[in-house]
Amino acid sequence: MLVIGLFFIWLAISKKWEPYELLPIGVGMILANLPGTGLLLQPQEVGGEIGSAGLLGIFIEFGLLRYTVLPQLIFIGLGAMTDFSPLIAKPKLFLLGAAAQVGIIIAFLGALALGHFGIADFDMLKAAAIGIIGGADGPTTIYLTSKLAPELMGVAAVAAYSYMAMVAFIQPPIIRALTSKKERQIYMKSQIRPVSRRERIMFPIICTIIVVLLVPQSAPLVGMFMFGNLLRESGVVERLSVSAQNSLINLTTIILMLSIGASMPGEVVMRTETLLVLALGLVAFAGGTAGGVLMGKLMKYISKEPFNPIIGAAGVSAVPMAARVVQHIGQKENPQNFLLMYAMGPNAAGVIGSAVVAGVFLSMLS
Amino acid sequence: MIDWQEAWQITAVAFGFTFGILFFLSVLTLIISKIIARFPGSDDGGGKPANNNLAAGE
Repeated sequence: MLVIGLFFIWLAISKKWEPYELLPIGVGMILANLPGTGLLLQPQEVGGEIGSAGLLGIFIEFGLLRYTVLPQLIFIGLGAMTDFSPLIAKPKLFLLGAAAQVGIIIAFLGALALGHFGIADFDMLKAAAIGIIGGADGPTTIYLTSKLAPELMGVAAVAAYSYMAMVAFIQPPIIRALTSKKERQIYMKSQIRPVSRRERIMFPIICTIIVVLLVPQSAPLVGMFMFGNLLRESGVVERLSVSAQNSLINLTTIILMLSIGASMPGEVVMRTETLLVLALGLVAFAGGTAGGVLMGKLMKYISKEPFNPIIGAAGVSAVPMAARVVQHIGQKENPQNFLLMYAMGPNAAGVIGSAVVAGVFLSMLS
Repeated sequence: MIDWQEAWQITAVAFGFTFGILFFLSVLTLIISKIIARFPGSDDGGGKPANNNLAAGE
């Protein structure tokens, strides 16, 4: 485990792979696996005796296992950093984000099949926790896993962040396999209509009310995400918006990622099941990408305007890496194309979609 | 032992519900945008082209 922790630190520093996540995760893994530190002692384990719990144990117990506040706080920051304008300007892009959630379903069923045939000890709860990796959304993965299968939390989070760092390698072959060169070259005009401030303010409010009314269990994620976005778009709480985008998300990321790394003791990670979780996570990412692209192809046929189907790949969220992959491929195939703002639409829709799926899993399984 | 009937039910609800909600949100967004555009004073100068995203890494 110490070697894996060092490997993550090396990946973060030398390869710049998700450094904000993998660096503290690597340090957390090392600290958790050094003997005799007491850092992992959780307050409940030591009967709440003052001064006896360890720092990482306190973070893990209160931030993740007992109250799960850390992923929710991250969502406030993410909301404050997200611009929904492309989605508001082109609401049909919501459908790409919805279709990409098929990756979650594929991995969920795949995990259940492995459990059914006795290959792994995966029950319904673990299968849902594994499936959500396909949402390509770190905080959602951590939130759901900590609720349904806390023993998989560290592995699932690392899988989600690792694959998000690798979207540039995972997605292009799938996009190329499912689309023709002619389709990838489809030109979409580079400017979407301007979105008024009133629309940008109403969007998070309406989204919160609708989604939370229909899936109340998604409120901790969707509610915080939209709250953060309202801070940004309201234009009247500049300091709060800046704090959410910087101090809050940075501080929470440090604590959350250290906790995730520390949640990976050797005896949990060094199992065959871990490899299967990683494999299913990859299947989920690939399935989500394929689902988004296939929906893009469908929309290409029914759309009145030229529609490049590769923007569907951004529906897996992985904000903003998946959108950048789409932009890169689109521009490589047709240098006139500038697909980034179109791809940001399904990207944002994917975040909402995976939070909704997490809410549905929670309401049906917990 | 996996209860496959329950598993398929969860699968159908999770995907169907998510797709349905996002589809509904897309229709609602479209309708509200059209309504807002009819109101005087909608063009409040805060409108911006939708190409300046700075969404965060998660």
